[in-house]
Amino acid sequence: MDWQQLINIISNNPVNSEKNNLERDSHYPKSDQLKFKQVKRVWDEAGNYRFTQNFDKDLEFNHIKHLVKKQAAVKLRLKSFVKYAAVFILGLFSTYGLLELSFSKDEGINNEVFAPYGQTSEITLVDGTTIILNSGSRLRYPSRFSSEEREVHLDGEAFFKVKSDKNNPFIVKTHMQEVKVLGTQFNVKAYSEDTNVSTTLVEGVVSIYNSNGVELIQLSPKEKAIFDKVDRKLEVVDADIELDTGWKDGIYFFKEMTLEELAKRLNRWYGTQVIIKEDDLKKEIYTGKFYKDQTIWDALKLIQYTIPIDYTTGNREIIISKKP
Amino acid sequence: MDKEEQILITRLKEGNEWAFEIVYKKYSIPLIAYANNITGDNELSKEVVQDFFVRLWQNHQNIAIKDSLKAYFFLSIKNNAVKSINRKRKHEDILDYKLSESVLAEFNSELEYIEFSQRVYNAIETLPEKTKEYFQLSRFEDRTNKEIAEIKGVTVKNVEYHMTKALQYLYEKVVQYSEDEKKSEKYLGLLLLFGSSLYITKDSHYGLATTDKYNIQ
Repeated sequence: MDWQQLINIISNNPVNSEKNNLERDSHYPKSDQLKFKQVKRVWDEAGNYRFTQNFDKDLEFNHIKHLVKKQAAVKLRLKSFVKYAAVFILGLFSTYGLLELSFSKDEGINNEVFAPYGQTSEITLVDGTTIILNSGSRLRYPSRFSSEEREVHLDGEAFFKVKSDKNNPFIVKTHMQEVKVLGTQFNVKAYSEDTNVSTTLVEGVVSIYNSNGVELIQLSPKEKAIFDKVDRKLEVVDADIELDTGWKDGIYFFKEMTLEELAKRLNRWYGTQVIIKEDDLKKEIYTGKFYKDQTIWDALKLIQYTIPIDYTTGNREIIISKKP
Repeated sequence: MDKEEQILITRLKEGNEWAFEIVYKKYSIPLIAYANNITGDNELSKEVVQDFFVRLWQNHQNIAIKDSLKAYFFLSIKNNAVKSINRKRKHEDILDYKLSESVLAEFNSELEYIEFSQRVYNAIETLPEKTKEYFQLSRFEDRTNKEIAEIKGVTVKNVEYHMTKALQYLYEKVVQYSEDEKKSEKYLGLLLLFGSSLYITKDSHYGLATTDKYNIQ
């Protein structure tokens, strides 16, 4: 029996006359019947993998991560709600905010981009707006904008160059707040695992809203708004544009950053698992500058110039410890 | 139990994100395919696997895995898939793993079936690029050779050539390979688990592959 015939029968392609059931046809030798069965079995099993055509493990995993963290956040709020009856109303509101976000998903949103650890991605939207996504960030956006608003969802960090359109504001939604603009350049850093959300304005005007749609503040150029998720306080400071947006050009600046925070950033960029051994070492302050084409080992050596550290590679991690 | 797997389980118990990422990327695809045998519904299977990992992560302190991760995962997915389809059809306890029974009849054990299924996937993934495209159009999108020929702007003969090549390749990789193996010895268990995991660690951003790239001095 030739393969051509076999495949035509199995894949239901029309064959001239005799596309009858081979299994029952005694004209064929036994060995062919076995082979037919086996190939058919493989063909059937392949059907179980149909879903892999549009299955992205990175995206799916990030989604799971979201679900876990979101539900953990709700749980935490409910816990403190019981503990401190006095903040009852506040607790209720923030729980509501989180829940609302998780339910209000996917209305007309059908594109999703994820920048894996160690990479950035650039997206141009239909309106001409360009967005650069930093490592470990996810952006959801509609393939077409509704007539009134241009809205995207961000978890992570991104730099936006928004095409000016006075009638249609551009809105960046994050898990904690919304940023509304007309046409401008700004950076939003809102990783759900970080303790704060920050927005740095390069030019133009942006307004920041909480997740209930209340306007919190309007930023002027070179200002940076930092929302502390723990204290639930919003602070506006003078921004260091290079420091906050250098990543989009492959330059990473650190200014008075703790080693703990630095390790977190390195993990995002290089996809590594850097672990700091001693607690007091985590609090060490570092200031410096890395370039994207440098390896993690270059970065570690640079740190060694100012902080006396040693590093060893564990099973999969890189362990940083104090130099003895 | 393999030492690497022990470390992984310890990390999972600690709720380590990286450990969850590794196991998710390693097992999600074979688990969804496996659930498909029970649910017959790609979307439902995806949900079952997603829910399972979310719950596993949330309850990481309570993880108790005695045998192997693999056995634990597949068994859990089997139970959850049966539950989900019962819920969906609202026929409590009527349907019990019916679909898979006919499938399983051809194998000695469930484990053997799982290995077979994973080999099918690995084989599809390693098909030559062009042949893979034709195969996917045919199998995943139910296109006839004639339709594929139109889409690709080639002759039907050309499509037939690629499809023949694809099936021959899959047959060699899956059926003949496993027959050789059966003859040699029955070491299907853990050895194969790690053999088949190679393709997953390769495209992961973690693991030893990444470390190599950075040239440890």
